[in-house]
Amino acid sequence: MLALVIFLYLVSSIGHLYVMLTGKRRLFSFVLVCLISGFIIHGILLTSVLSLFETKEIGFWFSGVSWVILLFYLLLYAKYKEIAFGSFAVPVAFIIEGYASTFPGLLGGGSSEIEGYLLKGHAYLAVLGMAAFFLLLFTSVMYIIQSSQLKSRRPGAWLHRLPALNVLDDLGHKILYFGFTFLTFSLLLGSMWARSKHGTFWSLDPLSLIRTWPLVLTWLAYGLLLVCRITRSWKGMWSAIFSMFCFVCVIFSLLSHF
Amino acid sequence: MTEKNSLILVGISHHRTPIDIRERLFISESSLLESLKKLNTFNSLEECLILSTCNRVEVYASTQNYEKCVSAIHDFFVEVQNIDPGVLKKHLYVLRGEQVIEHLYKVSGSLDSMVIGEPQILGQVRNSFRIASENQFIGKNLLSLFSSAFRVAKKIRELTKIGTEPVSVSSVALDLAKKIFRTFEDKTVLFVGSGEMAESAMQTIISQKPQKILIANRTYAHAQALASKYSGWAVDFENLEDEINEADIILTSTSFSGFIIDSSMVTLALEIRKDRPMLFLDVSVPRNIDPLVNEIENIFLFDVDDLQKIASDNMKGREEESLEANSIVNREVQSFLNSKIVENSSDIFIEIRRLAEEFRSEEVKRTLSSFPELDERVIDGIDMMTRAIIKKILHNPSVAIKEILEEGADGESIHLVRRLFGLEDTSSKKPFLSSEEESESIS
Repeated sequence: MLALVIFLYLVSSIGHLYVMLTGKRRLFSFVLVCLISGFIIHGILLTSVLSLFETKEIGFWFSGVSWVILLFYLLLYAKYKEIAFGSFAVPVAFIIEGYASTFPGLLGGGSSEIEGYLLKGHAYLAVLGMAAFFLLLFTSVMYIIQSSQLKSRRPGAWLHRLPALNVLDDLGHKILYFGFTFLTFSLLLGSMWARSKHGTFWSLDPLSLIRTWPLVLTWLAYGLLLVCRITRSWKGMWSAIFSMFCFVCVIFSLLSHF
Repeated sequence: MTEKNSLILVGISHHRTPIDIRERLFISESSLLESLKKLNTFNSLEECLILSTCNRVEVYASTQNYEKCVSAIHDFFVEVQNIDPGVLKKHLYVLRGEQVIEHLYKVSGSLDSMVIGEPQILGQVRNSFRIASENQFIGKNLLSLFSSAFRVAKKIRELTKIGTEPVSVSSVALDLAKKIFRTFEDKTVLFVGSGEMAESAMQTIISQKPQKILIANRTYAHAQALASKYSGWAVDFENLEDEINEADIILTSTSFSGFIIDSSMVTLALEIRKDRPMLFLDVSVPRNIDPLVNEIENIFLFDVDDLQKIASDNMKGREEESLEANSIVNREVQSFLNSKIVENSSDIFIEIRRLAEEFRSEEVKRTLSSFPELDERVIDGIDMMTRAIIKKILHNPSVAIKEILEEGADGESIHLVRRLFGLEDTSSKKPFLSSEEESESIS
């Protein structure tokens, strides 16, 4: 049940960030259904622990904080229909609930079952993120070729085979959003798993370091690209070139698993 | 279709007729129906269609009487279009049979156009066909001919790149703009000056309905006049520096000697625009935009030489593609003729049975004449027996021929079947031809 709650909060977090960043509310009703379902199941879990047992572990209290945050958000949403608060509240509630699940206790946290789900979630999201970065690489390469053709003032046959520059730029931007979001949540789930398995968010053994740091570097590189695109309005060529450098981190992340 | 039916084309085109003659023969779309009716008053043509564009005026017809048909079309041009017969004689051409098919395929596929690959012609052919068809001027011969022409035109577009790349300066400019911005509905265009070269490019870009049109001219009143004409905004020529950051596409065409837009202006504009790409089209001579502008990232500059070079390269490309398109036409003409041969051979069974019945009845008659004493019952028995033999002998070949036809037989196999059964070989005759098939001028 706890794994289901975490999964529903994960979907809701990604959904809220998507709506917040793109302004498209098309899928929001589905996201809201996920969130409310998770919230109800979460509430039942907490109530059952609260009514049945006298002593409560630390995990219970963390879980309670997560539930209360969502309660406030849902009340605010019911009154104002504002999503902005949720785009902060829901991911934070997800992180706290995920952290709570790493403590062994009556909620079912710290069990090998939960660890299995966290690790799977980490891997699946990392795969989605990596796939998105591959797609971003393709759009960047196409952008550079198309832009060079136009710059040369004598475009060749590729001019008509490749999409327009603004289409490629826009596509790259959307892929970057998704890739970065997936990678972020993958890292969060990974660190939750590490906390549950090893009792610490960062394992210091050499193998874990080799595998983790390229992923963190990838996250930092694409995060920097995203920030630059949003705040410094990196458009077109610069963004395409920088995303190719970022992809070097992806290659290292993949190689580190061999 | 009877064997005597013949396809005929009489017309004039840009290949050998200057525009002053073409415009006198031109028939507008609204007058096409009336002209078809008038054409039929000269001689009742079984099927006819008039194709009239700025490059050609052609009458397609299917008739049993070649001479009368050609003469009717000639008279129609002379009397209705009011042209001197002597002048017309020099320009008019007549095509027949296979040549009509090939010509129509080329016309529909835009291989015979003044600008090879231009897309309008197919629509014009379709329109002429629609008008003729809706008013019962089209029978089964022209129907099958034009249906196949539309299919061939589609095939040419799909299998070759004949119409993909633009060949005029204005369409090249639009094409380049579309490769940077794809659509224009949220874009702003700025026209600086209104030189002759810019007129066509301006209209082409405006046809894409940009969000905002800005017009700058050294004479502000002129800018205002153009702005009201194109529903745009006049901007101050002297303050161009402050205006260019708003525009995504800038087209310059002034007689100003020297650069009116330089790198520093563009760098500043790009900073304000937060690096959103800009396209500069400089169609003025001498140039109005510093070529160094093209060195700046996210800025794209094309001058009139660039646009003309791209247009001429694309034209060469179209000519190369037209070779492939012509070979498609040749294959399709043969395929169309073959299909007609096969179509005409659908009565082959009847001919075989009729021939067999002729032989059978002759032989039975001859045999019975030697035995006059035979009674009716025996005669009937012999008759029935011989019929049954013929039926059994012809059963397998009939099934095999049916299968061959259904599998899509060619002229060769039909010819072979006819030879095997000793039938008169009509398959070697090309359909739609009554006699000789040479193109000729009216004399």
